[in-house]
Amino acid sequence: MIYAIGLLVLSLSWMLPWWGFAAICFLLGHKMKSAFGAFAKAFVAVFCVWGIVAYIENIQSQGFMAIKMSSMFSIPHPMLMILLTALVGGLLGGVWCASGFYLHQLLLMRKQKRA
Amino acid sequence: MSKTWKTLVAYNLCLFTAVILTVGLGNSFSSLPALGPLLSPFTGFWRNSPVRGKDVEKFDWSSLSAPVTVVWDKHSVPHVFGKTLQDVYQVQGFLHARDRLFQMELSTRPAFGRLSEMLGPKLEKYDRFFIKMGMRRSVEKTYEMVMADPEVRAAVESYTEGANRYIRSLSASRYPVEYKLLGQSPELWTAKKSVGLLKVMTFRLAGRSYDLMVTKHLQKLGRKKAMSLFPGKFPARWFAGYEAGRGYQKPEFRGSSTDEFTASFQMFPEYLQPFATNGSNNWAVSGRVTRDGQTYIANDTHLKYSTPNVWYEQQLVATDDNVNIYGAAFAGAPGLEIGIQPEFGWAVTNGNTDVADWFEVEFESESSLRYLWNGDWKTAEKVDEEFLVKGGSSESVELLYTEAGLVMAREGKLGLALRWMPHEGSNEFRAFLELVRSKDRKDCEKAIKHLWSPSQNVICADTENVAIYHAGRVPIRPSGDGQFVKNGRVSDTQWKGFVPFENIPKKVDPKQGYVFSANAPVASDKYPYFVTWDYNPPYRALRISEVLDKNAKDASIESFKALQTDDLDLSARETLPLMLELLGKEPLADQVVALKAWDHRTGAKSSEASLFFAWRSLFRRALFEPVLGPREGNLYPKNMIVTQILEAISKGSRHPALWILGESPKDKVKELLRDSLEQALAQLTDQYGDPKNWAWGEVQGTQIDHLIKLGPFGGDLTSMGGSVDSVNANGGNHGPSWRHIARLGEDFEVHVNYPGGQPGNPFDPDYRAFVKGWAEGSYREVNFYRGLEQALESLAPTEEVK
Repeated sequence: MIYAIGLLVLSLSWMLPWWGFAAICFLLGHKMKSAFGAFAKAFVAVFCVWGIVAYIENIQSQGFMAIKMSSMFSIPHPMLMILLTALVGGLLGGVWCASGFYLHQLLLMRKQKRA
Repeated sequence: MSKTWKTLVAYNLCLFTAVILTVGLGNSFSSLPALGPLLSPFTGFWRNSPVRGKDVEKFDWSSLSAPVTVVWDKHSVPHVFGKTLQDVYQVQGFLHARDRLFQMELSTRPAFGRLSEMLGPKLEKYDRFFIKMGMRRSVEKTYEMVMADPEVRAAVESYTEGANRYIRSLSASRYPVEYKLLGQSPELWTAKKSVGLLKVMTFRLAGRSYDLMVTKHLQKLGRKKAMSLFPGKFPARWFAGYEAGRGYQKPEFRGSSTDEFTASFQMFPEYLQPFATNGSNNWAVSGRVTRDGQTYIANDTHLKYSTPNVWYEQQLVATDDNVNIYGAAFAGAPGLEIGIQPEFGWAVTNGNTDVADWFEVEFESESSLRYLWNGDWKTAEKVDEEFLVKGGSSESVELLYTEAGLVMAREGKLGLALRWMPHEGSNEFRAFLELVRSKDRKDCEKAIKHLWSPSQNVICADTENVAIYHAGRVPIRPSGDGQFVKNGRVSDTQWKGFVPFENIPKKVDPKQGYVFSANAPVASDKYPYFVTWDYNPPYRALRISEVLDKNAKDASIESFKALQTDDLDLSARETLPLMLELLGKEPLADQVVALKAWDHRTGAKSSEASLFFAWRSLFRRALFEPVLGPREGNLYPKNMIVTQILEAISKGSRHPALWILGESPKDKVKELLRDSLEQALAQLTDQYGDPKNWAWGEVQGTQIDHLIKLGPFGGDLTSMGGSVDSVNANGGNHGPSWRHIARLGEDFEVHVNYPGGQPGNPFDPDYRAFVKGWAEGSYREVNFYRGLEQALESLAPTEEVK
């Protein structure tokens, strides 16, 4: 599942608005088995995708992006800029995925009740 | 049941958190940009990694008459090879937009009063000011002239087409990072924006006006005393560089100081001054006098430092138009503002012509639009101009047009009108586009007839001839010197046309073989027209003249480099001995003893320079503040007046400004000198400790900020020598923003040195590539290619050619 999220986020985010990955996580939350699992898997997947893409892009600029942006935000080390990016992505992905999971549970319960 | 509830609560909590986080990160708060889209590696700043273009790019758009090839050298300088100039300008627009889009847009916005729309309410006062002083109308008038001139129109429109080709191709994720930080998107370029950019430059170079300040002093001190501190006439030896006064036709009207009008207006509006030390140096030595028979030409422009640099370096080649030229362009305009080619080159410095005058008008009543004009009532034209402020509000500025000018302020029945020459429009593009096509001194002279404002001292140099022209329109003032607010109730005081081009100050092929300028006075008393009272001090010009007097014959790239980076301060050389002499023989601190032996060079390590400048600045304040009140800047009265006052006291001669020292000037000056010296020593010790640490480079501090001061996108403090009155006119945040030296002829060479880099992307490793070399004073020889083949060969010299 981590791979599925990661791959979808990686392949679709280029064309989506910045919050597109959150929608993906929300949708995939429906396929998750537990709330914690949903959060953790999405977190890890998005954390890795955002972190790795940022890292690679940073290399393209010979490191100047992380250096200058970390300095702009008063972050003590350039690499922390990548970490912050990954954390923000991971966190958002995680909560949206968990939301998706809960919504799925609620829908299931309603279905069971009707049945 | 309870499980459902639990899930529902958990769902809501989770969703709530997710929504809050997403909305929070998706919006900007006060000055903080929206972090979500900014941090996303798919949309945010991580997508702004520099794109290294190919070494050779070929453009074959349908809008071009023939394909255009761009060869990039290793300094990221583009060499554009096309068939026609129009094609070349189109690609130039594309390249400028790709490398400098944010700068382009930012630099044209003031012309339209559209800064706060982009940057927020803090900039509102600038928008108000620029609209109020008539920028929009100046743009409109010029735009009309551009559109009516087929060649210029074609060039500007082609340039615009090229710029928009790039802007249209840009996806949001590739917007320059400044736009992302501001949460904005770039607009399409227009021909009018190019015009606006030129008007902003015109304001920076010809927008200065201290007439209101001196009128304030006139009201308080009376004419005689005010004129003694702000004289409109200067000693003959300051007129270095021109032969003003000889061979000019007698004009119909002649400026005189007989205008005895004193304005009653009291609450003068704040006038936002451009940098008063915006200026430049240029000089050229003719091949007729140099040992190697070649003509040499040099130019350095002094503008506010910024990253990216104001200049964009490039070579433009149009085979059908027989043009091959190298130089510096403004990102946002077609052509070049400084250009050089093997047979010909031009170089510019600001001419300082006073083109802004103020008139007091009288209205019928406080709120009336009817005003007095030659004894009759006329109605002012009222126009409300709107502008937007970021965050949504729309503001409006009221413009009032009268025969005397644009009313900038009202007070009771009175109004204060500004007449700024650019209000009437002008077509500088034609001058610069013709300069690009010029082949010799004569073509150049023809081209600069179209340069109306800002006035420039233009050097035209070809392989044999050198000449300098004070190009630009000089208003003919029937009375007064345009120094004080004039009577705007009558037409007698209004400008009576402009000095004909044949009568502008100039020097063509002088016997000594060289010409030069450095924003110093160009016209002596003998010149029949008034040019300005507000020149820059003559010290740079005098230094250039003293060096060229000695070694013009030995002109070389090296000797010109030495002169461009020369840090000898003539204002110090003339003033310091007087200050020391008048200080008297009191027991002196070691540092003051050291000052006596100082060579007046303002190198980065000089502690003497630090002490001198601190001392003089405090002395100036002590001298003028009791009379003039708190300083408006550190510029007026000019430092020349300080020197003259000291000189008069030392010689026991007379000077009209001695009254400021009271009954016994000699004792008073001694006291002021002693006190200010003590203060200067204390200040420096306080701030820097031991005199060993008073290095001028550190004390002055040189900083090159980002365009909108985004900290890390600018530069750290650099230690550098130079001073505003040295040829190396480094003034900390302002100074030589471009330097070039060229040898014309068969051994054509161009060497440049400037604080910048070509790409405008702050993440590009070359963003500030040349800053270090600039600070060290080391030049780079540019690659000038005779043709496309040579350019291509230079890229791959070791590759096998089949």
